[in-house]
Amino acid sequence: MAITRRDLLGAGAFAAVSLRNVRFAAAETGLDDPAAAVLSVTRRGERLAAFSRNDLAAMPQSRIATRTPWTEAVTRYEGPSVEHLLARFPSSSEPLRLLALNDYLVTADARMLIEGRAILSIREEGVFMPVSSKGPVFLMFPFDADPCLQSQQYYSRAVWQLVAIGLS
Amino acid sequence: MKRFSLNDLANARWFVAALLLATTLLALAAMGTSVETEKYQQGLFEASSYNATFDYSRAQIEIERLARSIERFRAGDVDRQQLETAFSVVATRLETLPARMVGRPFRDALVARDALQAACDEFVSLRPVMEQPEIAGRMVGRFDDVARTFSRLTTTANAVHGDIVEGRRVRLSNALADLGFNLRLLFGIGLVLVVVLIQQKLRFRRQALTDPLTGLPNRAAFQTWAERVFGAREVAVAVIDVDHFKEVNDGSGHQRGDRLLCDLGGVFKAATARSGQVARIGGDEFALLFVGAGAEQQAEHACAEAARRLGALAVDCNDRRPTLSIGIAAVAEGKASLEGLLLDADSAMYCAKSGGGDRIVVASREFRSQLEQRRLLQRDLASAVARGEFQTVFQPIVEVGNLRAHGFETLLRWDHPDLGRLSPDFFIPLAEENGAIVEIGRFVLDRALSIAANWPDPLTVSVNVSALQLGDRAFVAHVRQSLLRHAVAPHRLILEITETVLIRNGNAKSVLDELRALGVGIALDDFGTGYASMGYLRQYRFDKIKIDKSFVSTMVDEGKSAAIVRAICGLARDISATVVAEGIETEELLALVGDAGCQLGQGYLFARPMSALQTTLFIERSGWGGVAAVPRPQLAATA
Repeated sequence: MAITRRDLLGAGAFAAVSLRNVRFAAAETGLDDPAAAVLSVTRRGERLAAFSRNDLAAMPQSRIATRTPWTEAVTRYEGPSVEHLLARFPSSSEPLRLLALNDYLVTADARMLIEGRAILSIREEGVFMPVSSKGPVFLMFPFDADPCLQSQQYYSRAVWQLVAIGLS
Repeated sequence: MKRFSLNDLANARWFVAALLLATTLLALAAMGTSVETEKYQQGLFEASSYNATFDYSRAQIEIERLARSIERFRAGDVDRQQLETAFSVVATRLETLPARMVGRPFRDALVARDALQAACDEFVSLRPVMEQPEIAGRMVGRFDDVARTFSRLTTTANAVHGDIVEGRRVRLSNALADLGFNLRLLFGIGLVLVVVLIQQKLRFRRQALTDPLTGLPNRAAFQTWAERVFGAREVAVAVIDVDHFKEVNDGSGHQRGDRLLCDLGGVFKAATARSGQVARIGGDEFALLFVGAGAEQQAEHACAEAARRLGALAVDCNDRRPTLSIGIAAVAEGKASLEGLLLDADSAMYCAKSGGGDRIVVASREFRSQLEQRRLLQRDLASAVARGEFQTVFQPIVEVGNLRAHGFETLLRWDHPDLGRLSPDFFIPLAEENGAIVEIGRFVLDRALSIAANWPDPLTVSVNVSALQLGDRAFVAHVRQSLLRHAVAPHRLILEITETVLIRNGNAKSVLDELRALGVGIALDDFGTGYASMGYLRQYRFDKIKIDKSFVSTMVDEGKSAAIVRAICGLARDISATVVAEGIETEELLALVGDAGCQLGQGYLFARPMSALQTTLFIERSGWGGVAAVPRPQLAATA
């Protein structure tokens, strides 16, 4: 039984590698539940809101097809725009703090994200991204559409496994 | 050692061509380098836009955290969901791990990724039994190994990335240095090119204003000097023409003529020194300009000096010493116009030339008013025939032996409405100058024949012909028609021509032959005053030779004149020509002329020029048709 499962998973893993590097079968992390709150918005430690993937999918969706330093081929991403989400939270001009599951933290000006037409991508190639593959939220810029975005400044703000946005 | 100036180089065609070629090549090189620079710059941007080292470093941390999570899961400090989250982080990292370094495949990264992939695969397969301490321990060891691999990958990648960035930076800075060098060189050559072009422009301008033979300013340059004259109180212009220059050219060759012109340029420059300017304004015409106090004196002095220096020049292959005709015009006070001064000086020069050359004529106020008068007279001359202002008068030519009238010479008088009666000596040269002589000549011939038609048959009528008339293509035809119209026998018409007419007409012989073929007689007028060349007597056939009155009137005092007259008479006999002695004013002269052998005479002793009516009376009185002689000369002379 164990061998079969391992073989199956191995074959799946191999297929994932050959097609799009690696993709592991979703294990139960809780975050992969579309109804589970995955993205929280906080202000000075106080939680203002928490969004599930269903919540985010219910917002107007923006689409980006682009290459990134982490993917070889053009990939389609889908999700609400950062601008749309931030519109719900009146904010000062202080930078945002973007936190990922792997403790990756960057600050970013809201204006920079909005002008860069960043989206909170929840779907890759039309399907929700699991936590084991950059999910639940991947902050994405249309890099191919604008060469100005192809710099460390924007690459460092393209955060995968985004779980929290800190407003000031 | 020969020194090259930029000016010499600018004149060399190869130098300009080399400059242009170098500019083109450098421009192409600069363009190539700039394209390269852009490419390297792009490469550098690319290299610095993303650094994979950071990802490898993060991967190492995440893998180690997964290993620690497994350890704590085994110890029961961490639940399965937390373990799965830690694994998801590593799984995502595996998925997003850059396998390229600045666009190039990075083998170390591929190896490390494969190791991580294998470890993850094993984790997934062992996930359900991860609680077992030995399984968990094996996975911890496995992930710690992979973490070490990533640690080494991070440091290797950091060095490789640094090398790539440095390589591109060096290439970019080299390309920029090349570009800078090219641009500086281009700028330098461009500067030289600009200087060369400016020098060429100046040279062309200089050439346009310089006479290539003598190196003096040319006529165009002279005209630009009008600005210097503007506002000056005293200005003098001298126009200088070389006498008989055409003969120098024709006789000694153009090289000789050119050398003379060059010598003259030097002479004028030396003579004017610093006080004036010299220009060559025509073939053998030079002009000097003096501006400032004492300009006229300076001009006169310089011209005299030039003439002196020219005389001193050794002239080896030409026996005739070159001389100059010089005209000077000056204004001492008032508005000076260079154009006006040049015209006046030119007229004065022509005056000097017509006076025989080798002299200086200053265009004084009187000279200018005379000039103006001549101009007005020439204007009047053009219409004088139409206005009927010309009168013909006739002076008898008498046979010296028996004093019978032989014929009449037709003379012309101009009754000018303002100036009164004018002599032909005064107005004929003017008519010859402006060409009015042709029309006047036709009028005289026509009038003379119309009068002569009424005379007894043997009487001849003489008409003077000028050079311009003889050169007129229609002249012979006009003579023929006039003779026919007035029904005068051709042999009664004598056309009187001077040596000058023969000199000025290259085809005189053919015209004279045609006239002779008509039956018209030809007389050589004023013989003895010009060259009195025996050549003409040999070359042409003359029916009459008229000895100038300057010989006849001096026969009384000078034995030489009498001898000459005798010699001419003897000569004339030999060539079957009749001699007419002009200017017989006394009985004594008449006797001398007769003794010398002249058959015919003309002069105040017989009659002054008479009107047509007086002529008829004279002929009647002389009893023509009968045998009566001319009335006593004294009577005629006092009439």
